[in-house]
Amino acid sequence: MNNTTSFEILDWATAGNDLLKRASTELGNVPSEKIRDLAKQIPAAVLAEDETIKLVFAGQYSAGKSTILKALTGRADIATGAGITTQEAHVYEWDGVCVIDTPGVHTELRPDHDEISYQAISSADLLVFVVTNELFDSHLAKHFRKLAIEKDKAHEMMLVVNKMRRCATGNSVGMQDIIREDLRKVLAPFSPEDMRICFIDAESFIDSQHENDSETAAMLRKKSGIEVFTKELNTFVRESGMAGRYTTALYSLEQVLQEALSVESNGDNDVDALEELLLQRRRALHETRDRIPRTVEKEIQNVGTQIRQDGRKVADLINGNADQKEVNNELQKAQDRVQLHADNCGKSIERAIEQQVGELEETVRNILNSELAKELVPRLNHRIQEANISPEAMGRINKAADISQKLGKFLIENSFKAGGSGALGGMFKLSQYSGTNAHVAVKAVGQFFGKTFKPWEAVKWAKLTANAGRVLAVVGTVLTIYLQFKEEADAAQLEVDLRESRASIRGGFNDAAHAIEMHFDKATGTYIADTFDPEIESVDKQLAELREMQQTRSDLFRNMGELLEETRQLIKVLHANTAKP
Amino acid sequence: MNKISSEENAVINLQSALQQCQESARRGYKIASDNIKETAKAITIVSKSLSACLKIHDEGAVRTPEIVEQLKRQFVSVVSELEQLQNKTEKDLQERKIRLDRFSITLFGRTMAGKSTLMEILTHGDGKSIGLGAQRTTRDVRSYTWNGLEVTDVPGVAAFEGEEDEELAFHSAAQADLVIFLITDDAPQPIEAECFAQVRRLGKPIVGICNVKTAVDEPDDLLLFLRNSNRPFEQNRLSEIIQQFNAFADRLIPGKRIQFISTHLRSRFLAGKHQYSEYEAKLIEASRFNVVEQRIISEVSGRGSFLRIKSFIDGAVAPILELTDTLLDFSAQNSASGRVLIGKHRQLNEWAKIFKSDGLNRIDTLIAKLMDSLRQDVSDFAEEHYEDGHVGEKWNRHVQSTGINEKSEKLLTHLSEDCKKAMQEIARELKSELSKVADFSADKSIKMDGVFDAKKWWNRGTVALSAGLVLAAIIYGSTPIGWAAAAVSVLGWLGSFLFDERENKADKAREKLSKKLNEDIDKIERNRKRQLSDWFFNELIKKQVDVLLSDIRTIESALFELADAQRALAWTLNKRIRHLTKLLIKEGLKQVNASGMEYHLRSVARVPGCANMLLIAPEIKFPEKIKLDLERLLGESVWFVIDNGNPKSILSQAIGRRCDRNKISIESKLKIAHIPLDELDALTLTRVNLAQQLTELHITK
Repeated sequence: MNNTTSFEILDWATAGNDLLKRASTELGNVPSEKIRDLAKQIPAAVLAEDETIKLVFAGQYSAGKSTILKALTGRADIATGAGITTQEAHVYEWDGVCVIDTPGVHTELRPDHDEISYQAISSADLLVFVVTNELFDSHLAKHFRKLAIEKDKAHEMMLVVNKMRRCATGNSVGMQDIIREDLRKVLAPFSPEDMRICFIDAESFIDSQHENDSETAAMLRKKSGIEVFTKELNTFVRESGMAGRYTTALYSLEQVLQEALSVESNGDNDVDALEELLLQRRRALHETRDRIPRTVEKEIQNVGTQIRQDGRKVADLINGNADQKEVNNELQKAQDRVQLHADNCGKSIERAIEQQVGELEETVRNILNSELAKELVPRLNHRIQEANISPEAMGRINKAADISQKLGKFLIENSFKAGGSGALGGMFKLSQYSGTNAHVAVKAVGQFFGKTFKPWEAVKWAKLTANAGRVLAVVGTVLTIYLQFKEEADAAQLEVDLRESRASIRGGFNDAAHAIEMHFDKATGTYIADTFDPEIESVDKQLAELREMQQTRSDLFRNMGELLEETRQLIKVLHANTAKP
Repeated sequence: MNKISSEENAVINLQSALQQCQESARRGYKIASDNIKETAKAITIVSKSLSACLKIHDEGAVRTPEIVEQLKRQFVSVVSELEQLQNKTEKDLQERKIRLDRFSITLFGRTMAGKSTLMEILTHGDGKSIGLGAQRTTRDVRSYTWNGLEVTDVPGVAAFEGEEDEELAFHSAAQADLVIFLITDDAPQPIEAECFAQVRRLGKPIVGICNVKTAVDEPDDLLLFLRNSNRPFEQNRLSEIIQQFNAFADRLIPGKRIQFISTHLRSRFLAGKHQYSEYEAKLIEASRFNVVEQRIISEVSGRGSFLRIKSFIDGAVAPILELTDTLLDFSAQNSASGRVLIGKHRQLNEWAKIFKSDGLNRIDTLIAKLMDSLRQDVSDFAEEHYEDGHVGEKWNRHVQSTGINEKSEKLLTHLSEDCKKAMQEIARELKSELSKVADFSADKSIKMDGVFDAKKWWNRGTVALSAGLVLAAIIYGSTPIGWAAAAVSVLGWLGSFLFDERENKADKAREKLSKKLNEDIDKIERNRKRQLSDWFFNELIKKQVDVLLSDIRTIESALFELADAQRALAWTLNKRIRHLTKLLIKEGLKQVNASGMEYHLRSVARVPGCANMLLIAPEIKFPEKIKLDLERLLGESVWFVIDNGNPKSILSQAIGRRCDRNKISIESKLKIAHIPLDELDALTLTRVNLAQQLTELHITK
């Protein structure tokens, strides 16, 4: 490490510790058990207690990592071979350094090996990246560049080119120069001069140990380049070890964040589609709910108009030439008609609402018959089956285990019937049940409008005079007087009386119409509040649940992404202030 | 002695084989150029039917101009993509024509695999073309003649940022009659196997070479090597390496494996050099190269003339095969989009019906309410005003004071807003449903990996992958015709009330005025209702709802037309594949002395480089020996399916044990078979493709 002021390092370490703590809190408090488990792997502080430097051997499979370690440590028990030999990370001790052998990456056939290798790499203080003389193919180049450049590991890395005896002129200086040039493109923006690069042939070294001819053995040892490599490695550990140790905790954090991000893959098409269908159902419910009062209003308006018209007609009968008996008769008839209107009005409202509900059901049927719904049902069936598998088993099958569990639970709770063709029907059906704790069925219209309503009982003047007959009596009195006194002077008074009388009749009928309006308005309000509102509320609840499934994911996704970026930034800051690669 | 003469023999055999090759190449060329003509016909038919559709839509009643434009673009791009592909195939064939008389071999492999060294050995070159280990040594494509064969050295594949080189290499391989594929005795990499699978998918017969590398140039290295030259060829080590390579390749391409011959190319190369003359014999022997040489010669003498025909046929089949798959996919996507539109169309219709009756209801209710209140006022107004001279004026003012205009305007605004909201919502739903259904339908597609670079060969982006989606975006983004402002000015005035009749008797005067007022109210009621409902129908139903409906209908039918055209073309191309495969099998049977067996084949299917599937009658026994000979000749598997006339049975036979016959459902009208398949490994994918070719049913999950 170069001599930057120790003050800066302290600041940096404080920032690192703070980041580790925040990440641990963020990831430790999410619904996903998997992520909470991952959070446990986040180190507590940038500098761990144990002092040993961890040196990880990574790179292409079969590049000879194990053979190199065999040569380096002199241990005979390290297995080597032509195929994929190393199955797991092995830990060895070399010169007080903890050396870790990995299976290598990009074998394609063994993704678990990749995982083991990445895990080891993330916990490394220093890295030895091994390739063969065939150097990088495009896959391996990408992997290497990701580590060296994107993760900024180049500063803590040594590149080893093994199997040099496979070159035409072996491990010669000329060959090494050619290879250095070949590497330039893959290493950019770093250059071969920036990097620690070693050329070896570990197998020649092993051969030399079994060689009987001492001269040949010496030649093989020399060609193997192991001695130079050992020296270089020592220097590497000495010079870069400390800086490497500082970033290790952050690299571990980076690994945890990346895994967490892949667990919470962004978005879920099935949830999105279900949300869309529920939104459409919600819209249909809303439109019907808004339309019902208007339909009712029309029915009420019709009745009101008729009643008021009736009232006016009867009232108009009251004039100087009226026949009392006839007026009484007509008045009685009109009053009876009001009751009839009230009864009919209830029925026609019922019919009108039933029609609306029928149309609503048709709309919902159309939603369920849409291509989207038809495509979604088998997918949801599949998801339910998936959700029934134990969480452990599911973790192996599907990375998005959490959301599948939630979605499965959601579907079952919301009467999605797995297996059937009308699987969404249960969720989209209007509530059929009515009861004390559940809400009232939308279709139970009669319950709200079926009861007999007596408008005259609600009209004030009818109440005061106790019955309709008394109303007639008042009118009758006026008429009688009118007939008896034909004097001019009285006539004017009588004219006033008649007018009041007419107004009173009209008012009575108006009030009756109003009472009917009020009654059915209120009934409609109650109907909607007891049926549609809970129905819409339950869709809203479903939607909220689905959205929450997605929302927590996307929030978490964003937060983790930011933490990852911050981690990488902090690593870069340290590298910028310490050793050159 | 014996050996030399047999080598000489081999060369003589080779010469006569090459004679035959020239003849068969002419036949192959004829087949390929006939095929181009036939394919061109099919494309013309599609092109014509699509332009007929275009014309209809041009003259049709679509009122959103962008939609017609977009549809045109969709139609045109389908045709132009086809034409491009056709041009490319034609150009390739012309290139082949130039080399009609030469049997061509392409050397293929990773950078530094030893291609140039091999070339130098064959041409006794000076070694200048060989890089000293540097990557990307062979940037250009170079051809040399060896024993009358044209050998082409191409740039290495799988190098970092080596896409251009790779393209050159694949182009050359596509033209070859035989490919020599080199790997080394370093650990094989997955990407090498990927390239290998792609070459096989082109139908190419392959001779595999594993180049053993160990230093020999320097004197001490040379001595070390010659001390025990068998050591680098240690059997266990090499077979482990080749096994590893096969394990990678098996995941990508099922069918027959390729044998790899191990050789030390560098020592064979140095053997020919003056400064190593002392070691020549030793180096030649240690290199084990003669096996390679013999193998190449025996490939050409043994099946060279068949390979030449095969190469022409594969050159025609491989691109069509992929195109067929792609077209079926597009067709399925467009049909799915079309079905979304049908659904939305139905929903919009239903909504419009309800909206219409609700709108009229609202108009009725408002007018009824207003008129009711006016009628209530008549008696009082008449009582008060029957003697008033300004009664007309006062009544008019009274009518206005009920807020009839303000309330009418408010209603129209509400109706307009409700309509707008609903239509925007419907357009949004349409867009969202289309994109989700497109995702789902993509999930259902079963397709083999493409051999050709999608971007260069077949511009998927522009071709109708989600035609519906683009159109929906247009609907969503534009209001077809500006929303009319709901204004009372459009309603016109109500007319004014005049009353100047005098009546002496109070009773009579009052009654008369009442009557007149009621008549006026009736008139206002009629007029206003008509004005409002006219506006409602013209401005909202006709200009907005009906336009959207008609747009949806147009897109709907256009999508189905597109889907039909794509499907029709796919099955026409499929027929071409079957025809070409039949020719190939017939030729093969002739080569294995089983001419005439082709008459027992009811149908054939083929995936180049993998397998052939032959549909035979239940009573036919196909001799095992002929089958094995045919497999050897083709370098591909030969599978049989018994034709019992039942498509489900054929499907399940063809796909094999992964396919549960009872779970197959067939939509015979659309020629689609739904088969639930969970694990789609390379073998299953190939079998699904073969089943699709045989049954002419588009297979989806």
